Amino acid sequence: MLLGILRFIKGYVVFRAYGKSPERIMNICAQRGVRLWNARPVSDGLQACASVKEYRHIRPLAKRAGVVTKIRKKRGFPFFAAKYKGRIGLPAGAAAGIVLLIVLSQFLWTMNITGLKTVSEERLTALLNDSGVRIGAFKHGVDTSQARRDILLKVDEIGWLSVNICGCHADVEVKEKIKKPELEEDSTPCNLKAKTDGVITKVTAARGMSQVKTGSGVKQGDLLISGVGLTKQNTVRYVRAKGEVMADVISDKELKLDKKYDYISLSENKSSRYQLSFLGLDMPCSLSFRIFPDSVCTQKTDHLSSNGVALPLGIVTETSIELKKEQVTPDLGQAKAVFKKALLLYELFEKNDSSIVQKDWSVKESGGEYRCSASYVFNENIAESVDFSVEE
Amino acid sequence: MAKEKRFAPRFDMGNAPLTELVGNRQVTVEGSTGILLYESENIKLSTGRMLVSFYGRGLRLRCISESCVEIEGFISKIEFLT
Repeated sequence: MLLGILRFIKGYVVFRAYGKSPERIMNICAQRGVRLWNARPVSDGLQACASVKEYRHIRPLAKRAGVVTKIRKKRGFPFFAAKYKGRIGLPAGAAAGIVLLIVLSQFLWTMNITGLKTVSEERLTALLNDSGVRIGAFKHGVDTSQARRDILLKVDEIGWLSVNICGCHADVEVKEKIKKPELEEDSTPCNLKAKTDGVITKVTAARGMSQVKTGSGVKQGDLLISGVGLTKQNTVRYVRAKGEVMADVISDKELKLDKKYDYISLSENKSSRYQLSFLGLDMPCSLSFRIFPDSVCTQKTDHLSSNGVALPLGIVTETSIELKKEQVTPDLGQAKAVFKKALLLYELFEKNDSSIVQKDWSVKESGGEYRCSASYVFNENIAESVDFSVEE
Repeated sequence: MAKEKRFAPRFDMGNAPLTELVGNRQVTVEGSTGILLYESENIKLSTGRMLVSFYGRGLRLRCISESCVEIEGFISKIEFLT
């Protein structure tokens, strides 16, 4: 293999020797130290290979041996180069390509972060950028140890971090700290009291004495689980009451919607500008960009990718979309749809720990607005801790 | 005590070629003075006092130097002519 490459670089010829006794050429060459290879007999003589330099010596020797030699094939780099001798652009382009390859391989092209659970990738990327580990950075100028130290000092959640640069790729491995479980260290005695009115459906007293039963009604502030108990020796013991008291609670919700209101939406008018992103540098490609007085802006980056790895070459598209303001006059049906969505959001985000037992809602027109009255019965935990002090 | 000189038995073979066979697939001849015939069924070498002829199929010269020849192929017969 290696010999083949060396022969290709030096260049060689495949020649045929004709005559009365073509074997003589092999003997003479062997005596004179001229190396031949792939020598094989052919129908009318002998075929062999010799390097370009040595073939020049073979011709006079062949003449002496009474053998005629003829080149069949010319192979190798010297012949290839001679073929394109007049085209200066080709070697110049090849040289420029090699130089470009060497120069570009001195920068970081891709970065991969693994092991993140709670810390966001954007935050870590920003910190890595501040420490010099970023796409497009000169890789010999990146101090990975310093970057590791800086990030460990800045981010408490990270317990171990490693930045490995392999070729033009930076691999950042992270291991986050395991959070300590929150231990209840507060030993101040407390009661569990009702935070709202309701009918008890279930009582689970983990610590303390239950003061209510299932089915009983309670008012806001009533004692549910007491932190005062008795020991076996009939002495008073104060504990921090803990438990869950589920109750059916009535809750009302009022919503309003004007019969005429301003609604801001996206219009059809938009303007985009493009930037070529290469190794962290953004070069503008568009000359004109329309700016609207009221608008929203979106930014999208499309990266070139190879084998699932995003390369630092892409197009950044920045689009500005004009906002239009219009007056909306909803009818009763449209108002109901708006209220329905609003109630769903209320149930999802404000009462996410409660389950709905009953729900009634109605929409009425009143003056210049629509009014929605919703009446719910939620089943939820109504217990809240109320500390008390003990003085002897 | 003077060391006793020991001599290995010596056989004077003159200029006889050294022929090394690897099965019947490869043969190296040291002491060759030239190739007299080169065909895929027959290769004839001169070794000074005698001629060595190799018969077979697909015979080819793998390496040739001033005094050494390496033949590769399926050798079926070797003939010595003095």
